[in-house]
Parts: sequence; structure tokens; C-alpha cells
Amino acid sequence: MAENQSNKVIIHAENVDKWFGNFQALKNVSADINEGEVVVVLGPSGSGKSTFIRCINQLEEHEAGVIVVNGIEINDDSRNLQKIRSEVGMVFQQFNLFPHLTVLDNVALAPRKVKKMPKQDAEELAMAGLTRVGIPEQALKFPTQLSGGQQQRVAIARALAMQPKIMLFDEPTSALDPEMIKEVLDVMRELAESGITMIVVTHEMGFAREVADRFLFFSEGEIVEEGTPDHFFNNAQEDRTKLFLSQIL
Amino acid sequence: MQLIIEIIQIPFMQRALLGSVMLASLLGLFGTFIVPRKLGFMADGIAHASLLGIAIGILLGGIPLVWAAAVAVVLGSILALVDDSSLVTHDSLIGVFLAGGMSAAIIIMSLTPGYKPELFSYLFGNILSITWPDIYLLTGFFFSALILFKYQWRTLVLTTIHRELSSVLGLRARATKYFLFVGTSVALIAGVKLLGIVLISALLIIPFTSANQVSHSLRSTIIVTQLFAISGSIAGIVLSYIFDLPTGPSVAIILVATFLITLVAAKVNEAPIWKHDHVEKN
Ligand SMILES: Nc1ncnc2c1ncn2[C@@H]1O[C@H](COP(=O)(O)OP(=O)(O)OP(=O)(O)O)[C@@H](O)[C@H]1O
Ligand SMILES: [Mg+2]
Repeated sequence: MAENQSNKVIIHAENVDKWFGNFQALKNVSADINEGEVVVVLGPSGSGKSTFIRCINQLEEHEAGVIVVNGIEINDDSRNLQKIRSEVGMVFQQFNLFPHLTVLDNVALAPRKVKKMPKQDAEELAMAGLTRVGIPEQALKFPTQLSGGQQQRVAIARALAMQPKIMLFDEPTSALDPEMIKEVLDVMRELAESGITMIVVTHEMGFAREVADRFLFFSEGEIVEEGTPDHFFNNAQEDRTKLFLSQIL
Repeated sequence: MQLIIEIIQIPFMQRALLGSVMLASLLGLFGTFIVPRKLGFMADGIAHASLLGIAIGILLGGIPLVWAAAVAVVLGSILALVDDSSLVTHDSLIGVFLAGGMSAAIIIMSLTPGYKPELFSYLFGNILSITWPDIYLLTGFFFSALILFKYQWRTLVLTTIHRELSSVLGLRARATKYFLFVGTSVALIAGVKLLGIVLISALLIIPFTSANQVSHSLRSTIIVTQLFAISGSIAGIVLSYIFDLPTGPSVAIILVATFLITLVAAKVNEAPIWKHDHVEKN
């Protein structure tokens, strides 16, 4: 989707270190991501993929290095955190919705509570989002009444309702039954084409190859290789990358 | 029946029952939001550390429980201020409070001349000694807390059942956090008359934990928590009067019994909704 990319760096990570106790989960990680770019993050389990994207919206605090999101540096200033959170949407593997709120209320929640949008406007926005992900008719149901795939689509609508510049996905289809994966990937594919900046952790290689501008390959907390999908499939340099690809393909 | 009517007519029992209903309701409510955050230990820490306030009160004069409440407010604010992700986690901080508060209190008391008979009632509670001024004060606190609960309700619920999702959505929860931590701390001190420093955490932790075993919706968990807390306190007070037992431990033992019963009754294959604090990683 290179045609959507600008040359403006929207996420800048420089020499980022993250420790959990005495275990170092991220080691000197640096990456620049352009506005509109779709980046797929690959790597074996425990390599730091989730930690990396969780540092970007400060669900985890990094101990060293610099992270700048849309021109705002992540630091102790809670106003900065607030601004970043409103620019960055996130979809987890599961549990993306509040179980006691209807689908519509889940999607309208952040616009109402964070953006202080009037109820009616927020609900209209939420309905538009649900239409975009193809399930407006589920609006008044509770999350548990939906299939896993539908829940993930609601989660995407929920994240989009804040009109973020950046979307983070952490294995959004890994907890789904195979027959539901496609409907979620279809929504994500459309999103990728819309020009929003995306960082996606996924093992869906067909999807990744199709939508990604760039792959980042993590191993043991480091980015050991990066490049276009073509580079990875035809010309991977590092042994660890080749081993990983041979296992996953 | 005759006995119940007799009990209700005794003024000190009226005060005790009225006070305990408010305390039970309040601590049950705070517990509903504290326990799922895995901060139940906080109750013990704050309560024990507040012995420092009581020691200061005995040394300098004034109402010891007011001093204790002041200590609790300070400690509660520190907990709210310190982000749990930092190097010092909440439970280690609480451990430090407990050790620091208790030891300072005991040193101060050893320096205070004279016999301190009231100390025992702070440690184990003495709800029958509650006075009308105590009740007025408690009523004021009770209704102020309820009003704040009303304002903080939605954020409290959302941050409790899914902290991470609330953060991702950008919900602002700072005021809520202060209310929860400081409010709980003060409620614990208010409850010292009922259960004492040693046992007060029972009223914060056990009713919610029991209710969470047997209820499967948000609303029912809250209601059942209230039910267990209030009926347990009343039953404990009444039984302790009838059988001439110490009041605080009677209340606590009934709460524990309720917990054991719910444990057996729990439908193990259905996960309670209120357990949804998804701190786990993807
Ligand atoms: N809160 C935490 N406390 C301690 N260690 C953690 C924590 N979160 C992650 N880790 C550790 O950090 C390392 C990186 O974890 P991370 O979740 O980023 O891996 P991942 O690449 O996303 O793996 P997966 O593919 O299994 O999701 C792992 O070894 C993990 O055990
Ligand atoms: Mg992960």
C-alpha cells in the first residue's frame, strides 16, 4: 500500500529498552514508521512483539530510549499520554469489549467519555463505525451474544470511533476459529487501504504479504531484520529470520 | 422474636446496628472495586499502619480515630499517587506502611506513660461503645461517599472490570483512583470501632469475594455483596449479644462462614463477570 505513504515519520522509536524485573524484553529497539505505512511485526513467541506495540501507547513504560508518537514524546507528562492515547487505537487478541455494555455503547463509550461528544452524535458515529465493519444490525446486542469474529470487528469499530491516526493490532485473529479469521482480515485489509498507519502483529502470512509495506522481524527483544515482504520471502538474510519463516509458512 | 424486640429497644444496640449497617454497606462497596484490583492486602496494611495515628492521639490528645483517619488519608493518597507499574509495587509499598506504622506506633506507646486499656478496643473493635456523635460523623461520611460513588460509578466499573481497555480508550481515571484509595482508607478507619484494626479487612474483602462466587452479573454481585456485608454484621452483633461473645470476632466469623458456604455453592464452570480484570498480556 505504498501509495498511501508519506515521508512524515509518525512513530519514532530510538534505542528503546524495556525490562520486566531482570529480564530484558526489548533491547535497543529503533524504528521509524511513516504516516500511512502498514507495518507487520513478526517473530517467535516471547520475542517482544507485544511489548513493542504496548510501549507505543504506553501500556508498558520503557526504561530507556525515546518514543515519539505523532510529534508527542512519551514521558511522565500525563497530558502527553492522554494525547497519544487519542491518536492511537488498539485491538487486542481478545477481551476488547466491556461485557456489561451493548455493542453500540462499547463503540460510543470513548467518544462520549473522552471526547465529551453528545450522546446522539456519539451513537451516530458508532453506528457508522458498525456499518463500516459490516454489522450494524448487532448494535443492541451484548458482546457475548456475538461470534468471536463479530466481536473483533466491533473492537475495530470501537478503536476507529476515536478517529485515531494510528492503529495497533496485537494478533487480532489468533483467538478466533478459522472460519472467522477471514471476516476480520477483510475489515483490516480495507482499513489498510484507507491510508491509516497500522502496526500489526500477526501470523497470517498471506494477509501480511498482501497489505504490508514493511516487515519488522523480532527475535529475543531485538529487531534483527526488516524489509519489504518480497525481501523476506525471497531474500531473507538472517538465519533466525529464515528459520522462523520456514516454521511458519 | 421477643428477644429481637428487646434488643432493638436497647439504645447502645440501636447505635451499634445503625452504625454497622452503614459501615458494612460502605466497606462492601469499596471492596467491590478494591478486591478485583488485587489490593485486598491494602486493607490490612492501612488499618495496621493507622495504629500510628491512634498512638499519636493517645500521646498528644484529641480523638485517636481522627488521627488514624489522617494517617490513612496520607497513606491512601500515596498509594493513588504511585503508579503500580513503577519499581515499587503496591503490595511492597503496603508492606512498608504496615511495618512502619505498627512499629512507630508501638514505640510511641512504650514512651507514653500509664496503662492504655483503650488500645485493646482499637485492636479488636468495640461497636457497643459507639456514641451518637460517632453516628452523626459516620452518617456524614456515608452519604458523602455515596454521592462520590454516584459521580465516579461508571469509571470505577470500567477500570475495575478491564483496566487495560479503559487505558487504551483514554478514559481518565485519576480522580477515580484517589477517591477509591482515600475513600477506602477512611472507611477502614471508620470501621475500626466495629471490627478493630486486626479484623476490619474482613468486611472489605469477604462479602465481595463471597458474592463473586455465586453471582454472574455486575449488578447481582454488587447487590449480593451488600446483602452479605450487612446481614453478616447484624447477625454477628445480635449473636454476640445473645451469647455474650466479643462482637468484632463474631461478625468476622459469620463472614467467613458465608464465604465457605458460597465456596461450596459456587458454580465452578461459569466464570463470574467481575473477574474480567484483563491484566494478562496478549
Ligand atoms: N508483564 C510482564 N512481566 C514479566 N515478563 C513479561 C511481561 N510481559 C511480557 N513479559 C516477557 O517479555 C517477553 C516478551 O513478551 P511479549 O509478550 O512481548 O512477546 P511476544 O513476542 O508478543 O510473544 P507472543 O507471540 O507469545 O505473544 C516474554 O519473555 C514475556 O515472558
Ligand atoms: Mg504477543
